[in-house]
Amino acid sequence: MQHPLFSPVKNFYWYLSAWMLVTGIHAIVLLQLTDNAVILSLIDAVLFNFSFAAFSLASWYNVRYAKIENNKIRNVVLNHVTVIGTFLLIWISVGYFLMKLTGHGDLSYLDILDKSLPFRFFSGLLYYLVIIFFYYTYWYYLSSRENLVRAVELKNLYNVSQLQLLKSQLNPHFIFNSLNSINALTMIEPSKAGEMIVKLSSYLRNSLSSQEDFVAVVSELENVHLYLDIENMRFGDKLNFEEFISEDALTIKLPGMLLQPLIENAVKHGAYESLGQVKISLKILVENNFLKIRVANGYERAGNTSGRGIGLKNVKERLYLTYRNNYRFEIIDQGKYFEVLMELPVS
Amino acid sequence: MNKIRAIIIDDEPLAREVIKAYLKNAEDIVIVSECGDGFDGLKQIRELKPDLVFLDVQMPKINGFEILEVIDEPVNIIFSTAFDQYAIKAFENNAVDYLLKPYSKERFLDAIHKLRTRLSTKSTLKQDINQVSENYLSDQVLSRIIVKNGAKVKVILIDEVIYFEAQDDFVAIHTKEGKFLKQKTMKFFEEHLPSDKFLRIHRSYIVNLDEVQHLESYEKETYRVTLKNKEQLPVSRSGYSRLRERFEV
Repeated sequence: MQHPLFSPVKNFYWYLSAWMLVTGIHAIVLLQLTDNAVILSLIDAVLFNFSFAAFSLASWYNVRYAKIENNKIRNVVLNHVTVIGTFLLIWISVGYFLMKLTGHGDLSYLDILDKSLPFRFFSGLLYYLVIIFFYYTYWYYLSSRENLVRAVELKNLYNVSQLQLLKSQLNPHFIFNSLNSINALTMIEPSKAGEMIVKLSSYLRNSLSSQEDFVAVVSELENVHLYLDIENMRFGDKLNFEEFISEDALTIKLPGMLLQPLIENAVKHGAYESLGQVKISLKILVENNFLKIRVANGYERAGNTSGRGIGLKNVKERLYLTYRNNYRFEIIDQGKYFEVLMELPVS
Repeated sequence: MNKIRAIIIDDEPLAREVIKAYLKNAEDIVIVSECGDGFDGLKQIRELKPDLVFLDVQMPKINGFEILEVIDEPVNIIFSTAFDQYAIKAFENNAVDYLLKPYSKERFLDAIHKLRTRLSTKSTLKQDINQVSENYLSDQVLSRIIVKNGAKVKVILIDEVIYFEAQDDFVAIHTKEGKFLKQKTMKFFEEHLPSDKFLRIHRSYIVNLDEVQHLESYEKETYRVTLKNKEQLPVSRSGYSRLRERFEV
C-alpha cells in the first residue's frame, strides 16, 4: 500500500497547503501576542510546523507496521504514546532551544515563547491524533477494497480451475471416437449400440462426479471395466487386459476417480501408440495396512509425447492433498514397459 | 463410367464400418482396400493408386498428415478426426474436406458429392492438401520425423538424430542407423525442433546437444565440435555465441 499523502500526488499538495495554513495561523497568533515580532513569528511558525509536518509524513510507516489486527490494542496504544511522547519531547526542547537563541533580545517574544510551551505540547498532540486518525481510516478503506477485489479474483480462479479440471477429466478424444463407434454399431449391430450408449453415459456420469468422496475399490473397478469395455469396442483385440484383485481389497475405500486416470494413461500410452497387441495389467491388494495398486503396460516409443503425464500429475497432487506424506506413488519407466505404483493407507 | 476407387485408412475397425455403411448405396464408389495403420495405408496407396482416400488423422506411429508428407501420388483425400484442435485449425480456409467424428450420413454424402465434381474435372487438391499438412505441422514441436527409405517409410524419433546437415534442396538427417534425406529447409527444422535439445551451430548444421562431446577452437577465429561418434562439425561465429550462451562456457 502506498503512502496516502504521496500518491496521488495531489494529496501531497493538499497536505502542504493545510500545513501552510496552520503555519500562517500560528504566525499571526504569535504576531498578535508579541507586539509584531514579524520575523521571529515567521521563523517560529515555520520551524515548528514544518518539522511536525515531516514527522507526520513519516508516522504513516509506523501506522502501517503497527496494524491493530495483528497486535493487541494495548500494544498499539503503547506504540503511539511512545512515539508521540518521544517526538514531542525532542520537538519542543530543540525548537525551544533554537528559538531562544534566535529570539535573543526580543523580550516580548521570549516571554511568549516560555508561556507557550504547554500550548505547543497539546497542539502537537492534537495534530498527531488527527493525522493518525486519517491514516487509519485510509488504511481500512483500502484494505477492505483490496479484500473485495481479492475475493472476486479467487472465485474466478477457482471457477477457471474447476473448468479445466472438468475438461481434463472428460477426455474428448475418447468420447468422440466412442460415439463414432456407436454410430457404426447402430448400423451393423444395433443391440450392441444400445449397450455401449449406456456404458458410455455411466462412464461420463462417474467422471463428472465429485472427487472428494471416498469410494470402495469395487465401485472404482466398475468404472474401470466400463472404460475398458468401451475401448475394447473401439480396438477389438488390441487390448490384452488382465487383473488380479485380492478379495480383502474390494471393500477398502479410496478417493474417487484415482484409479481411472492410471488405467487411462496405460491405454493411451500403450494402445494408442502401438500397432500390435498391448498388455495392460492391474493388481490390487492389501498389505501392512496399505492398499497397494499397480498398473503396468507395455509400450513402444512413438515420439508422441503430447499431453503425456498430465493425468498422473493430477493424481499425485490429489494424493498429496488427501494423505500429506502418508502415501507412495512411483513411476517405473523401463523403455518398453511402464509401471505405476500407488500405496494408500487404509483408514 | 469408371467407378471411383477408394481406400479407407483408419486404425479403428468400427470407424471403417461407418464409411462402408454410408457408401452402401453409392454405386459409383468401390472400396478397393481397408487399412488399419498408416504404413499399410501407404503401401496400398502406392500399389493401388486409388482415386480417393478416407484418411483418419490420429493413428498410432504415423498420423494422417505425416503419411501425406511421403506420398508422391496425387490423390484426393477426405480427412476425419475426432478431436484435435491442431488438425481443425490446419483445415481453416482450405478447400480440403474433413469430417468431424461422429458425422451423419448427410454430411458424409455432402463430402462425396463435392469430390465427384472434382474427380470429373480430373483435378486434385494436391496443393491444398500440402498446405493443410504444413499448417498442421507448423504448429507443433517435432517429436519424430517421417522419411522415405527406398520403397519403405521410416519413423525417426527426434532423440535418435545426431545432427542435421544442409544439402541443396534437402536436409540430411544423420542418425545412428544412417543418413536419411528429407525435402525440407534447415529453417523449418530450426523453427520446429525442441530448442532445449537442438542448436544451429552453422549455416549448414543443426546438432543434437546430447551428442556433443566437446567444443574446441580450430584455427584462428574458427571453432568446431566433436561428437560422441568422433565426427567433427564446423561452428560459425554466431553458432559459437549460441553455444556459449547455452553452456555458459
